[in-house]
Amino acid sequence: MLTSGQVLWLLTPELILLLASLLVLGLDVLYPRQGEKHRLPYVALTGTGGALIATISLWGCHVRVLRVFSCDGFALTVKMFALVVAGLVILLSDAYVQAPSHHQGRFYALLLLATLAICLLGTAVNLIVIFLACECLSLASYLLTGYLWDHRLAAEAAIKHFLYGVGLSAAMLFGMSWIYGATGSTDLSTIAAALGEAESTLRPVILPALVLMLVGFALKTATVPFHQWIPDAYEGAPTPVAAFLSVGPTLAGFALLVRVLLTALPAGLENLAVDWRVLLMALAVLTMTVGNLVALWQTKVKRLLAYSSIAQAGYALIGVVAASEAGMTALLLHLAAYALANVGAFAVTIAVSEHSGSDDIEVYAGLSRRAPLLALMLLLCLLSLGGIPPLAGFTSKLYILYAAIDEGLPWLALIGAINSVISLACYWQIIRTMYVVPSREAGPLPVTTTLAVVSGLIIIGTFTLGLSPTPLLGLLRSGVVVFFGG
Amino acid sequence: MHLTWLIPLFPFLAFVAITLGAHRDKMTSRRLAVGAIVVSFVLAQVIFWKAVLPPVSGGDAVFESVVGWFLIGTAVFRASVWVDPLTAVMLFTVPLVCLLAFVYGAGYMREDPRYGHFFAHLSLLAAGTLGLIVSGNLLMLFLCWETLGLCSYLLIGLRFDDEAVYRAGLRAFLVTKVGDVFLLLGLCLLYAATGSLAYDDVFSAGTLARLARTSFPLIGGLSLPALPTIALLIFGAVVSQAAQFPLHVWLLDAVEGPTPASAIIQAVATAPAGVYLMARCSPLYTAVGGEVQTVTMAFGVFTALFGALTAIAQDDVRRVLACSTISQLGYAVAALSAGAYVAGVFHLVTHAFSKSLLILGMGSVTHGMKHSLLSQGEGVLFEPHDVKNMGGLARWQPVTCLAFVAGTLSLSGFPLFTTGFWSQERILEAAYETHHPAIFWALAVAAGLTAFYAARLLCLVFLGRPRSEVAASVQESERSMTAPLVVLAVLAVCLGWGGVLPDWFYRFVGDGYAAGAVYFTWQPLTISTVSALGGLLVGYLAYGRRPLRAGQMERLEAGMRRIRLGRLYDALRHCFYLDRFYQATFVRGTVALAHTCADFDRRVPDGAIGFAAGAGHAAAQAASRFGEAAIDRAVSLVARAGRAAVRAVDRFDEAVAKGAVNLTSKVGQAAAQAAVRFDETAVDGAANFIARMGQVTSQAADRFDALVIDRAVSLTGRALWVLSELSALLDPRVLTPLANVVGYAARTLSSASGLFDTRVVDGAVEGVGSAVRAGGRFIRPIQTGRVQNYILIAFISILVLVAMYFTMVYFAWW
Repeated sequence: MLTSGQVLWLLTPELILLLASLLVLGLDVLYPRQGEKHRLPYVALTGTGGALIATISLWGCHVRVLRVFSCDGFALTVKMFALVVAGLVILLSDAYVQAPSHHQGRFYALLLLATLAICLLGTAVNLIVIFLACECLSLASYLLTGYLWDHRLAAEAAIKHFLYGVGLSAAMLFGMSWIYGATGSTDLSTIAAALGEAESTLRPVILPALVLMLVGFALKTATVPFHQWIPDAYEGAPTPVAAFLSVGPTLAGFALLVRVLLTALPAGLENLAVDWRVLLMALAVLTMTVGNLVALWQTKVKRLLAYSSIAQAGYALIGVVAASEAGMTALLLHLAAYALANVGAFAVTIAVSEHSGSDDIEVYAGLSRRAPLLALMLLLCLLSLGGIPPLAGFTSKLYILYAAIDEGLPWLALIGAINSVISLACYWQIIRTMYVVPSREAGPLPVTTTLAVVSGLIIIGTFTLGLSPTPLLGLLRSGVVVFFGG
Repeated sequence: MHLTWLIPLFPFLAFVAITLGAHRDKMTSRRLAVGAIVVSFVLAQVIFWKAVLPPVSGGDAVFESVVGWFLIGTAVFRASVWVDPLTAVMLFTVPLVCLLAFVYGAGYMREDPRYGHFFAHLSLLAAGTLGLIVSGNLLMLFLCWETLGLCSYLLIGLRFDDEAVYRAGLRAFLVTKVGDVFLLLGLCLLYAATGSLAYDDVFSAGTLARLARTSFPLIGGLSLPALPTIALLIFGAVVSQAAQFPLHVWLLDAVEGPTPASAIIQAVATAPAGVYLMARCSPLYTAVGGEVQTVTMAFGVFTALFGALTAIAQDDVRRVLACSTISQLGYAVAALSAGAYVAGVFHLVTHAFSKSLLILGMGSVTHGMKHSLLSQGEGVLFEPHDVKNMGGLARWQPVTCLAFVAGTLSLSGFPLFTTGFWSQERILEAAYETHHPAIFWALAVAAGLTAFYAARLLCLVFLGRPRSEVAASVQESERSMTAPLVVLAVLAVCLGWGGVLPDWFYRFVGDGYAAGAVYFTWQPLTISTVSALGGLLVGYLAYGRRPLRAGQMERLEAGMRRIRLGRLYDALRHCFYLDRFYQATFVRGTVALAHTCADFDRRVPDGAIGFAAGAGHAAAQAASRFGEAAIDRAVSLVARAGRAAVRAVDRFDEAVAKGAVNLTSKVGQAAAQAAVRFDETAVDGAANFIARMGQVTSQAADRFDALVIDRAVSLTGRALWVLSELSALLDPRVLTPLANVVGYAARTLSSASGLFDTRVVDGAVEGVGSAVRAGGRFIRPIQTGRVQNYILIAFISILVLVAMYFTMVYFAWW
């Protein structure tokens, strides 16, 4: 039994985030003048940094907290990813949010709350807490999407996101209630024990319940056919929010998927485990293919990135399907590579669309002359997403396909490889426009210092993960062993 | 040998430096690129001589240098360089040809606005090729392989503002990517089966033996044997990269690129890399044997013949040489398939010299043609690459002509002193030893055709009189272009003298099992000599003796048309229309599929919602019409029915009640009368009887009885009568109004309910109808927002998934 001091200590990252969020809200009221508000992002950034330090200092823990959280390597890895992404997004938002009409305090507070929810989702091991954290993340996402309420597109996107999210959350809750009814518990390991005792009799109940619950997760992981909110939401939401939405909820969704499937329905339960793997295989193939094929025909960068995110989620699902230690490690590496590349691509989108007020691909013409650094970053990010060596995306895809082949699924790897070729064609139109098509506007594009810093970080990160993934892999492996009797 | 690491590094650094900024200045770009390749060349020479000088033979002279790279699973991946005889001879060839092409390019590209970029891409191509050669494991090889595809794309599409050029680059990229997928899968499987990708692990005898026993499980209990699967997957990469038959199209388009780039791509880099991969993996192919070797052999032989056939009908000099490359690489693949490892590698080397010589020479010619064209200002329709527009250039470009002669002789395998002879003869000998006459004769015919088209090209370009104004004023190219030609010509011709160097080569590269080059079987030797000399002779007789005049039809074409083979000639010229076939099938198919998917996403869900909204709207209208018409009518019908019923009840009441009353009164009367009669007859009789009985007993009783009973009876009778009279009186007066009251009440009630129906129910129906209609109106604007469309699809998907799931479980159980 932990003392209350120990409990507080183990929940420090979450508490810091919560306090930072409240502090930002309070300061927003205390600073009535616009000029003073530029301090808010630094407060938010400090909170994120503090939480990150707390997370790192907790490294190596493996305990149950308050019976509903599990502070283990996997949870800490997820938190670390979420906090890094949140930090990058805060840095990127700086230029975007400073227009006078924007309520900065709310923006940063909601961003921190959403990050908090992702952290909670990484640690939670109880269905009720999972549902609550899920809803918290969803609510924050809806509000962030509609943050520029007076813009028609943003309002529309928020409403759509809300209605769609609420519908699927209801389905998820319904599925959870079935699982509770069948096993009499909401704790994941107790559920596993109950299923282990009465596997075959519970099967007709568990299968639909599982589908319903996975639907709720699929909402977050951008899985076809539950993907349709994504392009609209990205297009309508403010670009920094789209950057966050493309990475944060996906990360949370995959963390949940892994946690719930591997804890409650582990490979020991042979039939059930086989079942969900087949289901996810079908979804992975569908997700990759639909995402890439539809992305081919997009003319707006944000929509293209949306469909590309969907396709990337498909590759990640291959890692989940592999369900081995190698597969999970590859999945986390892929999420890291994907997060870096996507945040980078959105960073360029922020700069360009803020300047020109449009996100058509044509606006990117001649970017290589107007802002060589941004063009280089976008090029590297897109190539990384397309899986070109020696960038991060190549290494992560290599590991994922390797894990699939290792698990005896070479055909799945084949489909993944074919899709990665198709995806290059999607990214190619942006790259070509940037480097080949002459610009209509003359003059350089202004690049803020923070954007330059973020670009540098992302370029370095993309190359580091691609050329020398070993240190991160060791870290990730120590995170996933919790599911494999480590 | 840590120096080996540095060989690919310098061109790569040059690429980075030029790309990052130096490309703005032509001079700096050129100095950086040429300087870097010179350093690489020197380093490569050092390594080569180190490998060669200790007089060892076979696979002994191996240097390896390994550093840890990254972890996969629990295994450490190592980056390594590896120098064995194969690497060593490639290290001699590749940097040399690259260096000469760089120097040549400096002059050739002088006026090009993208001079800097050209050198940057060329440096990257050189770096990729050198990296490919020195890498010590298949993963590094794969990385460099990817670089080659990218560079080919960049170089071929250097003048991307021309649509055709851009498309050619794209096609080269995409076709070679097909091979990359095969290679990646093959490597993944190889790694899954052996746990390593380093050459010394993978190609060791123990690993290969283990691999031969492994198989990969598939769905349904089937399994794939590992060794043939991997070998075929890797061969898929070879086919696409080395431009073998069905995937050769990219090389034909690649001629759109600048000539120095073409030379490197065709002679040492992209295309030969495919053959290099196959040579590298030759232990694998030796181990797998059997059907796989037959398959690879079939590809190689067919490509050799196919390339040579198409080459004889091309008018564009660049395409002649591209077809020739396809054919020659097919030769090398056939040699490797036949187990003639050394002959294949040697052919790769000799082909590198002769083909780079020919391409660069051809570049010198077209360069002169273009300049002459510019100075004359002839029409834009003039095609400077067409042999029909050339002729007689020997007089204006003597150096180029001599170099071209050397290249032609080497390519066609002129006996004894050209290098080409030694490799071609060896390959024919290997083919002869397979004891398949078809293979041997196909290759021999291809050799003859090679000599023929080489002679044809030479004669058409350099002999006779100029066939156009442009060709008449061509000047010799500058020295930076002719100097590399001379060097290459010397190499192409002199290296083969007397077979001394080839003999050394066979001993050095051959792993002890090959005898020297000077070892002949007389049949292939004769055939080889005859086909080379015969092809050259026929070519000279057809084109050189009586040179083509301006406007005259090409001899081969004229001849074939005369014997009604014109269509075959057209097919040859268009390489059997494979381009169009691919365009019509794969490209269109993919585009159509993507269109369909996008359409589906746009149309079907939208359509479903539109349909649902329409249906809702129609239903609402129908419902409201139904409300107006049907329910209204039904209600009025009901009301009318009610009214009729009331009236009917009314009448019924009147009739029945009256009848009943009459009946009752009549029954009453009858009963009274009956009673009276009863009185009169039975009771009277009984009374009389009793009276008489009483009379008999006592008179008092008699009287009493008679009096009392008589009166009682008469009283009863009267009472009954009165009662019946009374009831007859009561009925019409009381019961009829009562029935009337009930009837009225019923009528009121029914009209009230009729009113209720018309007002309330009708109104409600109307209300629901208009509410749904309003709902339809509500749905339609949001339908463009499509959120319910999404939710609808989401929930349908849930149902489908659950259904699918249960079906699956059902099948799994039974």
